[in-house]
Amino acid sequence: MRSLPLTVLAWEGPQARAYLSRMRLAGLRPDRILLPVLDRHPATKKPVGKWLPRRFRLRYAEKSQELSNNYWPRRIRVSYPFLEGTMVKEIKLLCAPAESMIDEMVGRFRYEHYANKAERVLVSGLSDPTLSDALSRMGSGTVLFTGGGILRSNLLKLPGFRFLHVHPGYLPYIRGADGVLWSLLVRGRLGMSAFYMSSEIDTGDLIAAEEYAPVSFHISGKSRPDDASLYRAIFSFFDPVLRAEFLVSRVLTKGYDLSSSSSVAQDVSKGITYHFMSPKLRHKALSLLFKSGKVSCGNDPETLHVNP
Amino acid sequence: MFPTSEVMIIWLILVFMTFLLDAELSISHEESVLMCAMITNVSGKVKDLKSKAKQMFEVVMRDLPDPIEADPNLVNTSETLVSLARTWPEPLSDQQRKDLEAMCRKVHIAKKVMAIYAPGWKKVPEPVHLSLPYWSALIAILLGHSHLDNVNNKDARGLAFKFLNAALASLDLAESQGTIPYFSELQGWAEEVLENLFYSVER
Repeated sequence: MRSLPLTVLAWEGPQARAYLSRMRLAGLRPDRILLPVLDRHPATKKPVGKWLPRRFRLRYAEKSQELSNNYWPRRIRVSYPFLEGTMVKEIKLLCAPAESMIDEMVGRFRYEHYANKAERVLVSGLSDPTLSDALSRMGSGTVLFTGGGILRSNLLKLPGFRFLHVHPGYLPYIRGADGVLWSLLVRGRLGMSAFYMSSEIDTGDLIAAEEYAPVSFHISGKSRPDDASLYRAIFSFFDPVLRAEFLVSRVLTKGYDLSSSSSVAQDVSKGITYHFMSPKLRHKALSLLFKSGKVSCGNDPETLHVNP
Repeated sequence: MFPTSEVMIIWLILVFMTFLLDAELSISHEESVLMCAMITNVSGKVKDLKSKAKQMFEVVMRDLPDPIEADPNLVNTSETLVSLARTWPEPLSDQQRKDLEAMCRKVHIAKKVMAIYAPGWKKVPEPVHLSLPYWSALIAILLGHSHLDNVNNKDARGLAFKFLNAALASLDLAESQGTIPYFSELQGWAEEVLENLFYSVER
């Protein structure tokens, strides 16, 4: 195992798990995992175990968060096994160990197994000062952002830290939300970019960006799940695995020195910032990814563009 | 009857394109004739939509009340919409694009659009909602700029989809907030634009 000078800000859910699982499979071990544990239930927003002593409350809140944030991947696995199977088959063309990664992501996950040190901190959200204090105590370094909302200046301006993020769109052209769907709709292909976060969305300095031939999952018309389930399936399996694969194969194992600052500024005059898709447009975009028909022919996962 | 000069020019261009396609794509002459027929079909659709857009624009803008009066240092949403409508169908200037994108942001993130904003589209202390006729104007302007002239220009396509997405989200918001003028007509127009734009992707 090679130790990485990296702190993973692990927001419980498929994305953080995919990064850690892919790193482990590549023989990489980040120095530290910082796991924010929400003091409120992620879905209902009600306080969790506020009558419990702090130590027990942390454990209880972590369990409640684990169940809530991993609900959809588990539910899809049970309700639509054929959907997961079809997706895994295609994802494996882009990321060979996808199947074992997804098994690991959906199952029991012990953060201690993936880093030299794992620390939990009870917070109200990413802007909670407790979280910035916990990071400050670590001194300095590169932090992998794994989701959980928008990073505010309390973290972005922490002296000595920079936040690494993988965005599912080819920067600077596709910025903002629903990157996978906008990439397919607008550019007719998939894109991935790794960059250091700045105060504006997806405009930070680029480490690497690539475009790939589009992928499609073939599902029969009769058994086609509704749009909401298909959308959740993207964020349960496809998007996290692809981001993790990009991070490991294009950044972490390509000799990129995390302690150096080899990144290039984006041309922010280019590109468009997109928002979440409205249901009608999302329905159309999903039809590009989930095609009705027989068994998939499999696309060649060639790389089309590489940047910088 | 002898064709008019305009039709003649289009016909000549199409003949030229069929031979160009034969040579460039190494496909049969019949296939390239079919492709050209598809292109004319799409341009015909776009033309229909543009004339529909013009009609809708005129109807929606005709019924607009006067923009509300506000401090000229503030952002007056209704005045901005009127000025955007005046210049349509000319392409957006950089400032107009920024304004329209700011309104898209309000629709998607704040889920509401106010009549007045502080400079930089920031909140004012006592915000007032944009009046319903101006919601219709906003949707018409977004849809008016969702028509795609150049299907190969990815930036143009991206912007067209972005504005369409904001128009669809505005229609959903309008439906939940109250009846806006010409709601069903705007909804029908949005669906046609969606089909047309998506057709350009599938091709």
